[in-house]
Amino acid sequence: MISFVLNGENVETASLPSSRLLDILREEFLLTGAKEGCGEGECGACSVLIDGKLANSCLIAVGSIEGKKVMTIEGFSETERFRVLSDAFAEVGAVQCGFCIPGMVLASESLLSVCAKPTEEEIRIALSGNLCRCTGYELIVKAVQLASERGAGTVWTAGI
Amino acid sequence: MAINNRKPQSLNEALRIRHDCEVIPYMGGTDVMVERDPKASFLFLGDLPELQQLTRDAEGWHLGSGLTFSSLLAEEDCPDLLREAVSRIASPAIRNLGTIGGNICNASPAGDTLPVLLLYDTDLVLKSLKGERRVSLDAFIVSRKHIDLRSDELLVDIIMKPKAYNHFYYEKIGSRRAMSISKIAMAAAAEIQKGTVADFAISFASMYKTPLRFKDLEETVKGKSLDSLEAMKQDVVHAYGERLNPISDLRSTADYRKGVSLKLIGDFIDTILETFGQG
Amino acid sequence: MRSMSISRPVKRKDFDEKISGRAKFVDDYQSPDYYHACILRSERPHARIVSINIPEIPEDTWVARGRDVPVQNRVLVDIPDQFILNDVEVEYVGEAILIVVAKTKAKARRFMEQISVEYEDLPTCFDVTESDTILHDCRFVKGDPDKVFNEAHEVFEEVLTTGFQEHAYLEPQGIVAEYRDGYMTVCGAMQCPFYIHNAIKHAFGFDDDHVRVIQATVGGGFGGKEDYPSVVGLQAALASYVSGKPVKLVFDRQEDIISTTKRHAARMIYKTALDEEGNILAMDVNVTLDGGAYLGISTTVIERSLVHCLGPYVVDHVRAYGCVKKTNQVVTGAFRGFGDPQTIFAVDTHLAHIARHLGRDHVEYRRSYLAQQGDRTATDGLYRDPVFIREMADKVLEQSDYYAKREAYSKDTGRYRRGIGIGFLGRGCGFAGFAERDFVKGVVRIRKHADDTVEALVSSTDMGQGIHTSFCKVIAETLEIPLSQVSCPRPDTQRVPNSGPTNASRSMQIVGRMLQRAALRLKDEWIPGKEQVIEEHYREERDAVNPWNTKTFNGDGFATYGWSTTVTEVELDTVTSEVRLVNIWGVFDIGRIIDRNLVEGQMHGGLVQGYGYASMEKMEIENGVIMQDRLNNYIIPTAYDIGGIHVDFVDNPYEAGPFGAKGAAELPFCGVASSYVNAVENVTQRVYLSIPLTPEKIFESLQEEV
Repeated sequence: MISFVLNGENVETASLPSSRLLDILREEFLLTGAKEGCGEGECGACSVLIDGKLANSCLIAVGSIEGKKVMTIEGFSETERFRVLSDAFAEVGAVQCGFCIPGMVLASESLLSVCAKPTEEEIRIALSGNLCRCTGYELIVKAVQLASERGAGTVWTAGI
Repeated sequence: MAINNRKPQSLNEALRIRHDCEVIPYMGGTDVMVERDPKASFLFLGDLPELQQLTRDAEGWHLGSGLTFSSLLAEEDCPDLLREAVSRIASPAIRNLGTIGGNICNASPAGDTLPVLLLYDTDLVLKSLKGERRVSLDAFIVSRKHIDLRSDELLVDIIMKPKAYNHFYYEKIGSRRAMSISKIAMAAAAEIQKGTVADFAISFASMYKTPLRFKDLEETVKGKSLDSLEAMKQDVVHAYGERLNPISDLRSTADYRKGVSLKLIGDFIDTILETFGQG
Repeated sequence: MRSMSISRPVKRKDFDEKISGRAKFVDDYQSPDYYHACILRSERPHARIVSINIPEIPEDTWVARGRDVPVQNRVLVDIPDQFILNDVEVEYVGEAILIVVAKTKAKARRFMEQISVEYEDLPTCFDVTESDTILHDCRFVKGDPDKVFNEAHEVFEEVLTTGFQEHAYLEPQGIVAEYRDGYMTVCGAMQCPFYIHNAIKHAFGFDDDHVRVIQATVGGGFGGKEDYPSVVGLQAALASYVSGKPVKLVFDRQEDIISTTKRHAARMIYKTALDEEGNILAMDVNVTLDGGAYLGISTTVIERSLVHCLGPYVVDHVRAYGCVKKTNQVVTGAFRGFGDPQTIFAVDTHLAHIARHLGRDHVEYRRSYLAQQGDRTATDGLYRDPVFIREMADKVLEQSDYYAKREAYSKDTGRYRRGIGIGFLGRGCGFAGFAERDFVKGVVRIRKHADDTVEALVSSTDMGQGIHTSFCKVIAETLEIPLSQVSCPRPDTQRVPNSGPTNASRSMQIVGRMLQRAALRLKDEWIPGKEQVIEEHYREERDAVNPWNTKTFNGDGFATYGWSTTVTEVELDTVTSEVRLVNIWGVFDIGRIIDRNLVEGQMHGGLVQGYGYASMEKMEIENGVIMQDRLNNYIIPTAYDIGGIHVDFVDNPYEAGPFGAKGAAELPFCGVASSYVNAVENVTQRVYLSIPLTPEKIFESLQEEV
């Protein structure tokens, strides 16, 4: 058995350690917020946070995360930080098809959690592993800026 | 639990498993997981504390093979040129997973850290239960995706030797500005002392099945004055042009790779002259 | 002013489920009852299949073949065309041969890998210039081009080319199908549920009531999920029909890229007759599109290429010929712009090159040929509505500080040098001619429930563009009720009428208008607390001035036109020939904006997709094999590749559109390529005739003396 912490709960899986974390999340734990867009770490739609850091769950063998903390969009959406990001994404209209969006939100959180007041360039770099074909990224970048304006010093405090 | 797919708690345990079983060493997973072999038996090394250190001593920098790109970027002691190369690798998420040891052992022609490591005459420490051996990076990478690693060995330590370089140059040319496999990666460095080229080194990735460095060409520049360097710039570029015979593939063409590489060499020399020259 | 309040942005209806990861895309539908399908695909570009060696089929596994299709093993789109499964003579690498169904995808794949196919290779063609199979062609003449060409002072000729383009929607294609008790139900990623509905009826011989098609949340379409999901839907349906199980067929990315449609690569010969002063007298246009192995929807694509061969410009004498040729390559199909991005790139670039050839300012030169209200279109139709493209040009030139930058950048020295370029575009909104009236015959329904909530029942799909939210706004605004009282469900053919496909930027202009009319009627007839249903049918609201003639290609091609102008500012690295997008400005005429956020999102996304098309999205097919077949080698822009995006609009309400809206979503895409090439030419002072304009091409051009 491989045990890890999933969205704050201790869980175990009997799957092969070489199984992709993405498949375990989607098929075993029925958490389908992480998507498969490419299966090779290029698109970021499968993003999750491992011990708070952004990672592509399609590139992670579940055996490697024994004892670690995995946060998916389902878990993150219960947090106050999510609410700040969600409100900002809604207000500027950053969501279109939505396939990349759970990954975008987690990429935004992974940036803001270490840098509460990023520059536009830092935001663009932080999102650079999350492909989006609908939005041209412009309003997603604006949403992260807006979330930073509202959340820096309260929900995100690093680097200020 | 099967004997394979183990997550060892110590390097010794890892070496024991490596010795006893047929396993694929798994660092960050970013290369081996793309292959998607469901039956693969992995030896998970990513969290071994013995492989997470960056230290500096008289021998040079010691990089633990399990250091992720992100942790290298966070290390104050990380050599600047390596930091520059690492910061341009893939995406933040991949940098959180991928490791320097993995980048070496994957032996991709497009391994972005390799040209930098070559400039530092990097040696690799390979460990097994029987002991350890030390090989140069240059010798370790035999060919594309082919390395001199025995089936009971693990890469543990990466030693970048001390250099007195005081001028650095790094260019990664990808198909886009992030999340890109290199068409050309060039690392170069020089040591200029009192108007003389004390040291001069250039290395490439993505041009050929292995990374490239031509030490004999570098020798022709060493000891020269900056004036001579300026005068011989075209000859140096030309000499590299005689050696570089790059590939064409789905990412770029041989003509582009060669032509741009030569321009980069010229630009590298120009930046030396601008920085250290009279004007 | 009341009508402007429609433009105020709202939170999109599907926002909460999307941002939280709860929205269900097709691959998110899960059930322990599902079986999974894998498709065995051709490895040869053209071959007769001599034999297929299938090992003994294990229990709980099925193999579906083309012969298992009960009526016709063909995919009906415009005509019955591609095979659902082809085990006789394959025509491209990636063509589907057979399907394996098993309990898990891994099991299906493992069994599929044991199947071997013996091929006998047949002659191949990979180059349209060598192909002698014309899948479709069309032509038109306006004025007397023969006479004018004979008398011309000079003829300026160029051959311009554009490449294949991959949609790269983030969600790969997929359908879940279930055949039970004589009823076929399919659900999945699609733009046009009734296309699939029709295709299944045709292939299986079912009647309307025995086929049900439901749209799942769709992760981007851009035309890629317009025609191709009929293929996927039929394959999934057949897998379920043969196995008797509910079957999920979801492609992985590589399978998606090698098998689904692409934007047509194009080769365009432009000949322009000039007088002594350099005035344009006539144009001769010859367009060849690469159709790939089957016709698909290429008939409409080439027609659209040709009708737009003058872009936003007015020329009195025109001869135009277009054809789609067959090659042994992946089939090309619908993609945002639908044939006109190719000719709009070509004509706009060509005019800039004529100006350069004449030593004239290319902005002024092109501007002098821009259409005005009352001018005639390429096909002798009338630009009857107000045309503000010249005012839009002024606006974008000013906003981008175009002239000052062009002047300043011409003095750039050093490694990094900037350049600035402009492009102009006009294109028809919606379908050509009388297609809405004669073929689509769209229907919408509004259902008011007893609790006075209102539902819009349409077959238009929301694939991310936000059309369902926009529809709700149109209805709420018309009924003067809160937006929260109105909903628009994802279409289910059992519940919604056929309001036509979701394509051609027609949804708001055509379907939105019908919904507005239905809402107006409901407003009149509103009885609180009572269930009411209002149905509206398409009708022409304005008589054509010069009615479209399909045979001669003469007349009003479109009910109205959308316009845009794009300025692109780039920075060239003279050492590496890499180009960075510094800024892009677009000014658009989409009639009136229905929700500013949604529309801006469309403009941004279209501009960036157009930038990818112009610059980095290279797709090479070698001996029938797509080289860039994954997202690590088919390169689309990341957030870090994009500089500033600045969009603005002119308010030009279209009298026959809901609140004045007309087609929007394709417009931003279509004008980027010529603007981008113009900007790079501004830096390098070289001429380019081909996109994508990669660093390799720029490097090569810089090796030549000017």
